[in-house]
Amino acid sequence: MSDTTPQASGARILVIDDGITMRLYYRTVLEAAGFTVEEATNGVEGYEKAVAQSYDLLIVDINMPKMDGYSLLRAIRSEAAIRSVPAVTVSTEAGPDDATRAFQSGANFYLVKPVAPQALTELARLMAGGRS
Amino acid sequence: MPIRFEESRAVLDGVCGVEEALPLLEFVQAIPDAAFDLGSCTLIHSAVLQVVAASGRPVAVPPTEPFVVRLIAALGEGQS
Amino acid sequence: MTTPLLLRFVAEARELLQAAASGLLALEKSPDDETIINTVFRSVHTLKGSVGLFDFPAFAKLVHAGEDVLSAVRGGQLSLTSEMVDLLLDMLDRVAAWIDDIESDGTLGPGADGLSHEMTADLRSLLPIPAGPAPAPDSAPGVAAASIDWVPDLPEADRLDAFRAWGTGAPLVAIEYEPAEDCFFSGEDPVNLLRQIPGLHGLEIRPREPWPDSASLDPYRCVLRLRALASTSAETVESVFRYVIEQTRLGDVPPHLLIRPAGAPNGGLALDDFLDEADALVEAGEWERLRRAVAALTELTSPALFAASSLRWLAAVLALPSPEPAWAKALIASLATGQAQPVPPRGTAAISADAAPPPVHGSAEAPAAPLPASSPAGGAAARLTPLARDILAAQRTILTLDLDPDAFTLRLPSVAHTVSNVLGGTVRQIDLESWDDAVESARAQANPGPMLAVLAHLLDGPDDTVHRAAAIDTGLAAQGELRTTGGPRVLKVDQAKVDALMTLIGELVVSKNSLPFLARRAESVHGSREMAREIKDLFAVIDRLAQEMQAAIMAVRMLPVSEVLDRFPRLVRDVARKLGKRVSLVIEGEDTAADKNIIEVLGDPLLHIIRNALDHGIELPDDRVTASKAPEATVLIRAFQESDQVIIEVRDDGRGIDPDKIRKAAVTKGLIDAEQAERMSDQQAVNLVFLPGFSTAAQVSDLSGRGVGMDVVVTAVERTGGTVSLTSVKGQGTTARLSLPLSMAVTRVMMVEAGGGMLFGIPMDHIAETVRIHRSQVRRFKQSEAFVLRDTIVPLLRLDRLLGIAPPAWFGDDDQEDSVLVVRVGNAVTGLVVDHFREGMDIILKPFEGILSGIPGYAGTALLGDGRVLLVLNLKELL
Repeated sequence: MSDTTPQASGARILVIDDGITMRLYYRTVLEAAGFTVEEATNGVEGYEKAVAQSYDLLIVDINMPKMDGYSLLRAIRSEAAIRSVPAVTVSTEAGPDDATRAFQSGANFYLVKPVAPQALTELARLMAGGRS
Repeated sequence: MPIRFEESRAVLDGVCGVEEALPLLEFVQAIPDAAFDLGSCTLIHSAVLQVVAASGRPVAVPPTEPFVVRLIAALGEGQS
Repeated sequence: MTTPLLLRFVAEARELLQAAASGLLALEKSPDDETIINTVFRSVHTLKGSVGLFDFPAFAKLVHAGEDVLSAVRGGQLSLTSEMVDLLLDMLDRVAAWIDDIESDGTLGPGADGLSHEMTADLRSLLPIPAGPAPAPDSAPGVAAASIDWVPDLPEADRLDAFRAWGTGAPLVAIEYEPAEDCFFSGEDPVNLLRQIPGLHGLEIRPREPWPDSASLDPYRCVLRLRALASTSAETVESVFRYVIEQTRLGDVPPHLLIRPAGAPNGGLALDDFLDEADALVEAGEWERLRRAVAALTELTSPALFAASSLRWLAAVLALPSPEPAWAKALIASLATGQAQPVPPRGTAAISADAAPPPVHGSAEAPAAPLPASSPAGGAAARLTPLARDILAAQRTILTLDLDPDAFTLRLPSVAHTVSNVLGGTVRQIDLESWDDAVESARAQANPGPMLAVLAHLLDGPDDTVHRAAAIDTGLAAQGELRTTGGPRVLKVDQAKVDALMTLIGELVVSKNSLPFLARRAESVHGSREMAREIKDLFAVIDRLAQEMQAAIMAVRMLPVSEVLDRFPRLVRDVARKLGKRVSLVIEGEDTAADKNIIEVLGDPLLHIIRNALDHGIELPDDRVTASKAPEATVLIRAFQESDQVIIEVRDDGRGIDPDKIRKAAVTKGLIDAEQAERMSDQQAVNLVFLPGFSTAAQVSDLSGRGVGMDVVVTAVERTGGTVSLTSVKGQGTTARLSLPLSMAVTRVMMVEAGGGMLFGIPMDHIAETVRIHRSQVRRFKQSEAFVLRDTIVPLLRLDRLLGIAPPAWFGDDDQEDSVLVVRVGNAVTGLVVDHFREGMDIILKPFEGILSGIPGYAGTALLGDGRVLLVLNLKELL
């Protein structure tokens, strides 16, 4: 809706979540803020997309079929070409272990569901930045 | 004829002037389950609108002319 | 109550619940299967994540409890028992019922909190360490804004329009007009005078006194009182009303009076986090960010809700050239409390919790709702936002993880990138440069030290960072390139749209049938054989295309039979447990697909058959052992495709049907006489259970077979053009076999003439062959006729007589031939004498409606290409 928004125009975000409702939610909120959003429904598809195209931010669900979020992030960090893409994990439980596991596997930040639209937008703006 | 009576329907067609108020009233007095068809009504006189409002009978076919739509909506609940 | 998000949630939840339920049942059999545990857990887990987006606390709490139990099972702290499975299934059922409620009216229905509380407690009592949640519902005592003015009572859309008009600089005026009682006699038409007001937004028409009943209404006495809201100047209005100005009153409308959200409470998106930050954004004047947040929330909130109304108003306020902070705050407070909070007049600094105006000026921190005080506002220099600080702190944490050099190399790029992005949005250039330098030296040293130093400076140092004026990240390069998409894309389509396509293609199939008629006319009426041939050629092309298109659309409508089979594991388990029997259900071929109409029809007949098998076919474990069978019975449901039919077999290894008992029962009921019973083969005896009236539960259920309502099954299946058969071996089990057409959208019929030129359609599936026989070959026994076809006596019926139409006069002699359609209904073969055979044709069969639907003998009608209506016969009823 606001393509002309200077802060966020064109930054591309890949959302990897097996929940169809969550994906629609991310898409609606982030597109409203001017981001371009793409989706993947599991870790394997997420990995394939992340490798094939360039994104400015990855939003990664932890508990997913085929390949969970941690494994996905480890795989992504071992690919030199996409090693630098900022990544956020989203989990439903909050615990100190989760944060450490997320960071160790390759995340740069972690969120706990439900993520408020406001926080999501601000986070995306901060972490995805723009393309320079 | 701006108003036709078809069984229990009063069909208001085109410009419905003040002279239609009495026949319309007589119709709603005679037919207990009368309903209005305003689908093709383009102008409704205050007196006719008053009969529609006072009768409390349903508008079975809502109007399409924007101002008539507005007038019927302005009558509040139970009419549309 | 339909936001796209809520609809998506409902659909997703149903899938997840189904997956969880099937998984649980499978898990009961093999409790150590990690894949299944993970599937069940993930389904419930995903559901919990999704429901968190909405304000359904009872729902979320219950699912959370279920997830905790599953998590304990997964982690090995709990081992799964049948009782646990029962509880978890109950939870899934409860949640499924809520999903239905949500779909119908957007709420959980009455008593949700109590139900949730009870079931949550039950589930939690299973947990090794019961966690006691202490819910403390905080009820915000909102003050109802009682307005004595009528303007706030106008419909919201009208007020919003007026408000937006005001926002563009138009004045607002309220008009009250009470026409004279005798005004109709002076040619006035008060309501239509209002047409002339430019910028009319709201209108209210009421009687000055309650309406009399219509018997005593005087149609020529005007008792109307008109009120209107317009965005125009008072002068304009005065000039419109110049002749009745003494009956008119005008007033200025202060815009804040218009702002009053209204709508259904509850049921929308959870807004807490938005509310936490919204006030701070208002105070910081960050209108653009607030606007975007509001836009996103609006899209996700059902329009009928109070919250949606508040958001619309908030959007309208934010759309003003300079938004009024006090209004925005009042609306945010309304969102927080779920009740309309008083909106102060323009220029007020803050809102007052008191309903009584005027609000106190200058009290900057007087929240009307229990909102947390906004964080670090106040300073002239904007600093890192709390979230930005959190993100930077996380990078510091990552860098201080105990990483070996290799791992550090892997993690450095994204940390470097993340920090530059965060700094790029908020901090001055110099910080960005020092970060880049630090990253370079850290990379060179393979040591995070320099990066940590910069982060420490940013996070712990004096707050001297200044908001960067210009953003360097206009991101122009991001558009356009690299937009290739990989993999097949799946589209979710509303079923109604597919149905519409199906109807359209059906009509196309019928319409194209008019081309041969046209060709015939071209030849017979216009004498152009060439034209006729061209039309026929064209017909061939269109016919092929239409058939391909039809096949393609039908493929879209195909569903796997698992759609109906998925509920049986649960059913079999529950019923078997109740009956004290041990049953293992095996399903094969659940991927077999058929048209959705067929799939939908399948459910009830299958349910019937399976219930019968469980009730009557399968023995108690002890009896089975006595009969030297395994104590656990097996019910096999097998689905597969056979030419253009879907076959579903239900086979049990129970006691089977005893033909002798069936014979006896049928004789007792007077359905057959003893002599007939004697002559019957065992298979024929088994088939007696299909007779209507054979089976009424009480008498039959003590038979060692089945029979409860099998006629119901037959009726349902035959309605789709399918058949049912039953085979049984006493002591070894019973197999019920349903054969159904793959699709029932288009029927192929053969047209025949009877009764002297009348056309009838006969479904092609029934037609065995067409023959011509000499009259001399017809044998007559008493009243009935028959003929011999390849050594078989085939009874002969005359269609016109069957239909009660006078037969054509009998001319000629025994050399004359009869046209006979040999049809097969059930296992019986019959010859049907018609006047003439005509062509075969694809038709869309429309069943009779209304009073015609009671007429037996007809399946329905179809429209022919030349506009005639074809009556299609139902041979089962006719013969």
